[in-house]
Amino acid sequence: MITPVIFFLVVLKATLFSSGGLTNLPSIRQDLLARHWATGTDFTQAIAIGQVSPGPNGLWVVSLGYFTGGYLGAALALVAITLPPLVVLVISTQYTQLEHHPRVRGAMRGVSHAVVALVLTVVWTILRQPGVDSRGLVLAAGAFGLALTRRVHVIIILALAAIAGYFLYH
Amino acid sequence: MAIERTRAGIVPEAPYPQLTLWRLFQLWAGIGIQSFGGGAATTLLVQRTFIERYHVVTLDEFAQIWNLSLLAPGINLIAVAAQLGKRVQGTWGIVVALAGFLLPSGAITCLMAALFDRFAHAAGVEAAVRGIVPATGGIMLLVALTFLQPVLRVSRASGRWNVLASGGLIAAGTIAVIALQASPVALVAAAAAIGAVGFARGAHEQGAGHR
Repeated sequence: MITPVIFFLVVLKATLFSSGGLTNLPSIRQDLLARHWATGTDFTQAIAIGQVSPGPNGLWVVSLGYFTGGYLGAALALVAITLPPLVVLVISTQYTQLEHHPRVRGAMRGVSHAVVALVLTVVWTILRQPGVDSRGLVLAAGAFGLALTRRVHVIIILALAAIAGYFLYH
Repeated sequence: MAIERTRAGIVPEAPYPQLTLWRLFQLWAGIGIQSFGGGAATTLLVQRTFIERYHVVTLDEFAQIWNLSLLAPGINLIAVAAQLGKRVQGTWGIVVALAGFLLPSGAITCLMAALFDRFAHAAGVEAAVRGIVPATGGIMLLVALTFLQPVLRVSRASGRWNVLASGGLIAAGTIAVIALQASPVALVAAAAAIGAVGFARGAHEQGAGHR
């Protein structure tokens, strides 16, 4: 039986020291496995669900919360991953006061380059996944083209990709 | 509340009259529920909703919001939702944006966990997911190009060498993460340091918003 407050603090701590949706995984994994509150399979399944469920991938923690502590665990996990990103409100207030300084603006322009690089690495990571073959690359190009036209809604593009995947791989 | 636009000299009573709290909740709930396949679809939906449809932010401002979200811990899109919510409706805008974005999608995620054993092995689910994954890669490429636009525009205004420097920096950052397994946090910190030194002189050219 888990202690809800401790579970909440474990997820909160891991998320406070993470960047993005999945980097809190090692810390949560270490803490929960040590307490025998979750198994390795729970983690694998939670991450798989996070990838196919709606919302950010980081919601995998909500699945883990359910496997660990039922609906209460899921709710606590959701709150614990929602609070740390709110630090951005403090950062943006500080930035507003400093943004006219040339070095701060230069630093922000540098970060803009990092953003493009990071999104490109995500593209690379997605397209290098084991299940993605040459047909998958054609699907990726098709999705890119359709999204570029702006005439097809994103959800329709993903639905078409799901249908194509069903017929190609089933 | 959302009087962040004082720089532009606009201090309206209700800057986005069409975006009531309920409408804001609906928009974010729609974005949360529709964004299967992770951040790619979400980011594109957020861009199209708040830049193109409601003109809450310019592309430049959105890029800045995204940059700041990288400096906060946890899921970047939550930080983006909080900032956009604040801009539209102040503190309540933050609450409503986060509730809309996370409650419906979180509830569905939780239900999927509850029903996992039943649907995971259902015929065709795995094949459909195998189709969705590369499609999100294609959508993410479009997101990358969108973020690239303001970067290149500022670089072009600063001269040809700046464009080359920008391209080099992006390529080096991408390769560092993919090939050398550099951590994203280290990349952001390094890019900020390089920018503070190398881009400080041309910094005055930023700021003018482009819709």
